[in-house]
Amino acid sequence: MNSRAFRLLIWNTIQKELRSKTFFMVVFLTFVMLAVSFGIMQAVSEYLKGESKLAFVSSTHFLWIYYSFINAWSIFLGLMFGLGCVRSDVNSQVVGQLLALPISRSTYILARVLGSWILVGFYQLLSLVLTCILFRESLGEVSPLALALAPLISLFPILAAIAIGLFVSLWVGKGTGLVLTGLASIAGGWARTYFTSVENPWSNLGVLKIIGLVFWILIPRFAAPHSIVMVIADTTSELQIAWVDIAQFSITTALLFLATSLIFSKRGY
Amino acid sequence: MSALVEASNLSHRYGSYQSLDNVSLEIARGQCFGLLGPNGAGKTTFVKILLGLQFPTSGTLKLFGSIAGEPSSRQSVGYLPEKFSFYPYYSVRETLAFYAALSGITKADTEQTITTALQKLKISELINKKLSQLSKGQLQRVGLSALLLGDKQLIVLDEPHSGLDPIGIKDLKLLLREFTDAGKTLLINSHILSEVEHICDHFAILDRGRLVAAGEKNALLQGESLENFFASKVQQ
Repeated sequence: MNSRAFRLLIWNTIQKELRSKTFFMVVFLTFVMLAVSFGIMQAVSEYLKGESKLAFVSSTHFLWIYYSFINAWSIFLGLMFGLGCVRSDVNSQVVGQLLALPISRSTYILARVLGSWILVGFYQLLSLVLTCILFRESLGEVSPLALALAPLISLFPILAAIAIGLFVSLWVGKGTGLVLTGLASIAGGWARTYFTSVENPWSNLGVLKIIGLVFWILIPRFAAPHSIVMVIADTTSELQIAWVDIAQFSITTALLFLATSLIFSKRGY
Repeated sequence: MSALVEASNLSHRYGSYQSLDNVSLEIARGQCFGLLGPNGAGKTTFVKILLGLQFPTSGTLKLFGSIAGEPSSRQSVGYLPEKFSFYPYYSVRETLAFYAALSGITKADTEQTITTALQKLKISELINKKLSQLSKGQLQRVGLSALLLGDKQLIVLDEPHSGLDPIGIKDLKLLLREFTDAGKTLLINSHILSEVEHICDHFAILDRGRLVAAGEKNALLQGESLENFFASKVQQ
């Protein structure tokens, strides 16, 4: 397949979302949420000022809380677009017509992932620009390198979310997929807390523990890459780059994408 | 004539249902080939395997000498499904431009190629209409015009008469005649025996996944009507 056709397929992924009302609804909802959360933070900040506790919570902390909030929302969006990018073609039966063209299945999947990534990445960039505007007074206190790296690092958890969404969408629709992946992420989070906090986590391995272990191993740790930004930003002196978690994040994301491609290549349409 | 499509002991199962059972047949370059059979005979499965949309359980299906399913084997294949549908928010122009790009037509040539294709199908006035605004027959014509983009050597039509009015059917016949005159190979999967009898020079009949007849039309029919021949084969 020529590069023009590949670009067209990526653009087609973006177009699909841009022309659906869902995208604009999500963008609107996002900006409302960002505005509301900023308002809440301002109110908390004023309250802490009044209580003279602001010394413990600086405005830079608020900036990083806001950054984490944007990342969490971007992961949700990545998941949502991942769940829909191929599923919508399957539901509308367009996938049969597309794959009857000289397009390989892996190229098709890759174009859908890249298109969704560009779309959510663009939204993420807009959100970060908005963050910089809202927190412009605190920006001087943050390392320029951390500021430059933050949007780039954020792209990776988005990619992982799209990969998970796409994988889940091979079996279930958007609504069920969101619920299932949400539950799996919560279970993964719980398992992580458990296995890293108890003294001998491997003793008495029961069914629940094994399920937790599977989630812990298989669900990419979305927050892991951000530890790089946090260390560079020097938010606290105790922070370290979570290399093990970053490795787990990279490996599980790559495996998810490979598994999705493999399963998709064996499916009949 | 060299075989353009070559099936050898092709079988396919959907769970416990045997949709194709040891089918071997050849379609030579330049033939107009009708694939016939009652509902559930395996015609659509055969077409899907040919286009790489399904995979055989056993046996092989070759297209232009390559295993069907490889994208390169579909480079010169045009396919019109029974119900042509694409993104409803795409205009006819956008849809055909998409198909043109995937058929390797350069950007500079795309507009002219689309205009010519639409003129041939007598739907030039629809160029800026969204697909969601088109009737079933108009959509089918858009699908047919997509077949004119690029140099297609094999044209696969799944129930091509579906949704077309009598004038549309007449235009379709003319178009198919043009394709065959240009030396293109046609594979028509249809229920309308009279149309297949009129258009095709070769045909095959599938019944419950098995190939019950295949060959040159006159040699198979020997003066009998296709309808009677078909009935005698699928009742066995």
